Amino acid sequence: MPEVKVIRGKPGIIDLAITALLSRGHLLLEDVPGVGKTTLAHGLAKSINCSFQRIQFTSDLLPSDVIGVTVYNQALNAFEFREGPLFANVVLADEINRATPKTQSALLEAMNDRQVSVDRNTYRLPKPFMLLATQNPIEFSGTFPLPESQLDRFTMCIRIGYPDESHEREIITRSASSASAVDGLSAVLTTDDVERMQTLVEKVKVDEDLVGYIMAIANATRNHRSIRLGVSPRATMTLYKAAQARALISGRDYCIPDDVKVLSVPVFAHRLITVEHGVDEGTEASTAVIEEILSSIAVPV
Amino acid sequence: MNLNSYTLIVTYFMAALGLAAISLVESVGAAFTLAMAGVSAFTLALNLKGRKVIPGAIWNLLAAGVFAFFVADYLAFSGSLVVAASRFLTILLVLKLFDLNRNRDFVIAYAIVFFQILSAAASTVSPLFLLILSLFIIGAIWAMILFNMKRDYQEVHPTEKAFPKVAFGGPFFAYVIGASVFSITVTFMLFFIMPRMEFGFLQSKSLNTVKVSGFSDRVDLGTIGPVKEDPTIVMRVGMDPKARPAGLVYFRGMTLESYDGKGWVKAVKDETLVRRDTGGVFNFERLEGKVVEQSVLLEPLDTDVLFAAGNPVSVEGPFQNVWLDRSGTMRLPSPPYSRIQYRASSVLSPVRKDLSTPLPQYGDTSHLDGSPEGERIKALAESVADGANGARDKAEAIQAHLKKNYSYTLNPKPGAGLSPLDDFLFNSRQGYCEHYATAMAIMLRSNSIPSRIVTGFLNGEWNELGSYYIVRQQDAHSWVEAFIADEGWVRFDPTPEAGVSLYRPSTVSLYMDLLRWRWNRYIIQFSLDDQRQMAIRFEGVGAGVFEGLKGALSKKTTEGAASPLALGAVVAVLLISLIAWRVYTRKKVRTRMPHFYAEMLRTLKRKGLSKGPTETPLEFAERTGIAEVKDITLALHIERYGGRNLNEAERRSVDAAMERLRRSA
Repeated sequence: MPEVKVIRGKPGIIDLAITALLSRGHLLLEDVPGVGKTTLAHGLAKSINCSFQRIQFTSDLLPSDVIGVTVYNQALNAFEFREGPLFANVVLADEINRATPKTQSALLEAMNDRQVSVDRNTYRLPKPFMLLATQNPIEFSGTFPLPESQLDRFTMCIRIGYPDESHEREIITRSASSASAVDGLSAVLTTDDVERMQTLVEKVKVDEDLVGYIMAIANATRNHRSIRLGVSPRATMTLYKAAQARALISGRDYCIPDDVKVLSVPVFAHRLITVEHGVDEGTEASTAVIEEILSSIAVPV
Repeated sequence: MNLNSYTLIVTYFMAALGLAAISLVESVGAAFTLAMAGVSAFTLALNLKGRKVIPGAIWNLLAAGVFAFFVADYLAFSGSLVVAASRFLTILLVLKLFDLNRNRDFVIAYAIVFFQILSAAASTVSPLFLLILSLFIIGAIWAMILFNMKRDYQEVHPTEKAFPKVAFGGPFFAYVIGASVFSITVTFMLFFIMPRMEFGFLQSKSLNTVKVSGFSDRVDLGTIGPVKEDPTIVMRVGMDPKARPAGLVYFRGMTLESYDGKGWVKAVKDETLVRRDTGGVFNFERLEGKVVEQSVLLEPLDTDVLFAAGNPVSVEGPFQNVWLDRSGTMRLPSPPYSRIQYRASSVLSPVRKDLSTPLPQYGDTSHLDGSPEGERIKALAESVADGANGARDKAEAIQAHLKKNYSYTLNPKPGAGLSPLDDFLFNSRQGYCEHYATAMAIMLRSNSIPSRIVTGFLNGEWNELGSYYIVRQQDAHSWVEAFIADEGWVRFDPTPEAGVSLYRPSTVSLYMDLLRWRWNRYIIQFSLDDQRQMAIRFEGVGAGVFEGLKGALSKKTTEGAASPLALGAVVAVLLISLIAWRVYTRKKVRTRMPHFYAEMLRTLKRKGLSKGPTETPLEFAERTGIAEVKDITLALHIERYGGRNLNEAERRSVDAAMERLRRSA
């Protein structure tokens, strides 16, 4: 089987995406258009041989458009639930900040509990379930920034960024030859494999000193003078799980300080509200603050 | 050397200390100790060759046998628990040295040594013991470190039989010594600070009491002679050098007044019970004259008499009550049989101003009546005193006569069939203090002057280094007190100067004795009272420091008021707080970092590469770009965060990487 590459020059991003997947998390991709956000989501879904749905968020998108709707079935003489596009293993919510807060909030239950409730009925989402949302930090007219409560539910927020020169050259030349590389991807894992790995992640050993390290970082965000809102306990829990997932991906059954240190920026940055918080900044300011914090906390050895 | 050899060395070092401690126990016997030392040396040879002579099962049997020996030793031979226990422990230790196999055996050996030290502590007062104890603490800390290393090694390599080669450098021994000094310091601080109880749970009667002569209700003539060549120390009497009299000091023991031809008897029962006053002091009658304070450390004696220079006016010590008779003899209800420390105040004047008419017993010459010897003595007494007017002159005439016409010897040849006094006065004309004093007392009585015999000690040697008298058996002495009307009881000593043992001890021996005195005084006899004294002194220093600080702050102090002592105390307090702070903060940053990683960091530091505290090990390894560092970091991950000990192969590769790193550095 020939090796197919759909994402070039960004191995870290793929690792982070898989980390989020294995820690039963969701991913927020924050970047300008055209750097491969959709390709990443699509590729991820293809690799694990599971259903994939893409929802393009617009300001007129209604919650029922996402979740599904109850309709009357005349043949059965009963109401029947029609599943929306959310019922898939990997869901790409493109330009999530274009939807109204009402539609955005419809995702809350799905993200947290992996189920949706419609008309007193609760429907379970398929397993595994992962939401990848993208948002464009530059475009602001007609957008609704995600509320903090929803941001807190994303395991990580990552920026793909522009490729370097050589990779971009490669991307340009390759894209001309094969129209859709994603189609060439073949599954390497089944959904069962993913679920099994998700259970394995929970068994990864984390030394108590590393828990202390996580707490020290979290505490520093809560007491930092240029941070208005520090990270929540949900955030520290998420970092713990993500670190476990990263350890498993690296072939270890125990965490090392690097797992925590590397993940604290993507896991924590989007949850902070800095003092100079401006709408147009994205997570740049908070990334800088967390890096500053990391360079002041002793690593437990 | 490998770890096992080190452990053996420490074990034998400890065993040697145990034997040395046992050799300090009196009456264990040098032959026994030497024999045991010889057998121990033999076991060392066996252990070095790795041969086992006594298997564990037989060892237990032998130990039971040794215990039976211990019981027999206690009941039948030595009769002393400490001596029997010392022997028992020593034999047990030697047996254990034959059977040093498992880790447990080493621990048992150390425990036996500990008990040996303990039993030596219970019976010895030698300052050497302090040295042994200090060495024991150092050895114990060393042994504990080695033992832990060995056990850890065995845990990690359960299948390995041999032990790795190790080398201990200066820092290791510096650490061992430092830890020992610290623990000894703490122990001493505890020793001085812990509240002292005036009674001991284990205060045993001393093993060997000094048999003194002349201090019982009956003293036969000729009993003091044999001890006059015995250098055993009886007591040490500390005295303010400024108050020390120029002449010889008479340490008074007891007086006897009835002579029956063979010896002196104390027949007059005129003792009264003296109780301590509220301050804990026994006050006797007031006497005129300058009062001199003494601090007496009395060796265990078989007499109940208390000694003091001159005529005592008060005494203070660890006893409930004191009996005092009219002549000034202090006696305890029973002999203490242990070393006691007391303070006495006395008037050193040769006259005891007690003007009450003496009892008829003090003038009794009835044993002279009706025998030719008696008449001969009476005649001599009268002829010697003839021509002298008044009791004092007569007494002085008799004293001069005895000093001049009789020769001093410790070995008088007794004439057959004569009473001792008769023999001395008319036949051999030689004797020692007892004979002179008896002769004078009887001759005084023949001239109707009441008299009595006093037994005690004369002077001893003055140790200037510690300002105290060392009084030995050979300083035992007896003299006479005569009652002179209007003066009281006056001391006369008819013994010629040859009877005073005067010699210059060497400075070394004085130093040695000073050490012993201080050891006894401040360690063994350290009492609640001493603690109080020390507290008062420290309070004084503390107040001095406070005053000094206050003065320095207010700048009102006159020049030179800041005492160097206060300054020293401030520096000491600062130093101690600094150390305490260091110890405290160091404890807080305790780390579970494996040794090999710490060692790698040290090695790299020498190369100028050091890991920042906020850098993860992996980041550091990548920064250095050294493959060995990466390998060691991987091992660190496994052991430190993976919670798993490295397996054999991993450990070997870490060692190899470490070795390469060291060589390149």
